[in-house]
Amino acid sequence: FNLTIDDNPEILQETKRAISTTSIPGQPPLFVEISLKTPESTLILELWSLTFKQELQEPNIRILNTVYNRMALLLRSVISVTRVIPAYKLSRMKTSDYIMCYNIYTADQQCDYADVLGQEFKRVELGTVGTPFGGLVFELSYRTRLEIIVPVNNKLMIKSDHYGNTGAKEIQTQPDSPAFPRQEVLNLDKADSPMTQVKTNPTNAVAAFEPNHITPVLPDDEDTSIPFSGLLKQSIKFKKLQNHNKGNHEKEKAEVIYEQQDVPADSGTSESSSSGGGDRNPPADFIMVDLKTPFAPSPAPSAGSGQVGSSADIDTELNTFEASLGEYDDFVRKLCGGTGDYEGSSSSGSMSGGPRFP
Amino acid sequence: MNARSQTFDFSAECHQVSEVVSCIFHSILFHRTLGKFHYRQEGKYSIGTIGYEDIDCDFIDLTYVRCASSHLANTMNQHVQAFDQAIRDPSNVTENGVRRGQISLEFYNKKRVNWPFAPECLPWEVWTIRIEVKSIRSEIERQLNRENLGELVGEKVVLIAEVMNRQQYLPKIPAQSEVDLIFDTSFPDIQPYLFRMSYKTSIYPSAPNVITMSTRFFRALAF
Repeated sequence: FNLTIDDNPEILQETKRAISTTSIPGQPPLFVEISLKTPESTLILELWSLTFKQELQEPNIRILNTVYNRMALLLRSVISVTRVIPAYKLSRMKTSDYIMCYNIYTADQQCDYADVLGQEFKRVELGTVGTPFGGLVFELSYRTRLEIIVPVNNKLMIKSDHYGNTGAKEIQTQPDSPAFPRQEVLNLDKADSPMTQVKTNPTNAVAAFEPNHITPVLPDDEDTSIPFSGLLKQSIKFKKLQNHNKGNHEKEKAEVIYEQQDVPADSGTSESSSSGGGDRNPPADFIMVDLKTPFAPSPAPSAGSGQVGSSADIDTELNTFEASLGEYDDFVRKLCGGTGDYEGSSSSGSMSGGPRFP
Repeated sequence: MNARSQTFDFSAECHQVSEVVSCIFHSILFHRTLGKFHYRQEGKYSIGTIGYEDIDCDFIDLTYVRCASSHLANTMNQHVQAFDQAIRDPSNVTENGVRRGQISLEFYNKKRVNWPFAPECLPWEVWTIRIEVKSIRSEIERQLNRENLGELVGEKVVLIAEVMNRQQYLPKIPAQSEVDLIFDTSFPDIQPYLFRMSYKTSIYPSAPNVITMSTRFFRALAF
């Protein structure tokens, strides 16, 4: 037919096998079926049929010129049409999700094309080649909506990340059921489709330099009760923020309070402590101002312990001071009368205003 | 003899015009091209083979088949690019601000006449594409247009195949002395029927298509 076409020996063998040895007028229609096969289902995409109709014979036609030329023209039409019908795009996709198959057979029965190819199939009579014995009619019927149909038991095909990291769902096929949009099927066939990949939900990702969703809440500088309170950053309360993202059901809500080490003795603590999840007070910003008086002894804990002493220890200390009271008074008299360095008013003022030792 | 004609209408973006025209006309020429004739003694001849190749479009979702001939591809490209430039011409705008143009592929026979007159050209088949240029601003709409136009052009290719295979007039295979009256023998690797291309826009009204009154009758028969 004057066309450079690479013959496929397997296809030639299959065709010869399908065509019986009886004469052409007795041949049932020859079908070439193109289908898409997945592990779960088979979808017929195209049905090419070659039918011999004796009533279309042309007794006076010249075989060598006219018949062969018309066959050559028909062959060109078939080649042109194969590229523009929907299944061609699927055949060009290189993926392991499905394979394209062909089947060559003869069949005498009428085919229900709507049942095989879907309701919106198209049928085209590509051409008829008349011969002295009858006419060869070449027809094409093809599926226009490339959809995988699910059965009535509602096993739906959904994307892998529809509910988060749940993975791909099961696919089933059954004719005469609601169909999926064409685009989803084409996406299914691609190697990088959402059905074949489980993508992690990026909403759980923590932003850079952000420690575990903890964001610092700095003191409010507009708090007028404490002047320059914004400069006092001795105690900052951190709180865990609730994750408000969809699909993220993290409901943990806790307050973490970090306190400075120089805390007055009556606070009960002298080092930082954190309560994870225990404090259920409403999140309210506050500042602990630790006023450190000059020359005030640091509430250094007893050696190595760092713990506050008991009441018995305090009584002992007081008794010691009372026993030494006379010695302290003599010391003060010596300072006031012996050295003569102190002025009466200032010294008395200072002495009177000074701290009184217990 | 009256020429049969077929007209296709498309609405496409500027950058899609070339591919739409190339797809349609190459599909037609694929049907109207034979291999090189090799004449032998006693009027016998043999016909060479032609190859074909798949062309993937860049701006529409479609693949089409054309003859594997670089000379034919260059010839087609020249005409299509000239048409594309004519459409893009800034002055090619109608009163409504729309850009339009049409391009035709015409198959004809030559008929020798007495000297000094040039051979007469008798068209027997005319294919016309009418283009209306549209502008799309949304990327989503552009993608949809790309797919839809690919489907539409594909449907026209199927229609071309149906038309080609109807039992209708085709020039007879000529003798060696008259092969140049039926076929274009200028190509080294293929032998298409004699054809010519012409286009017209609002500012470049080239030679009009040869459409006679009887084409209405042929259209009624054909479609």
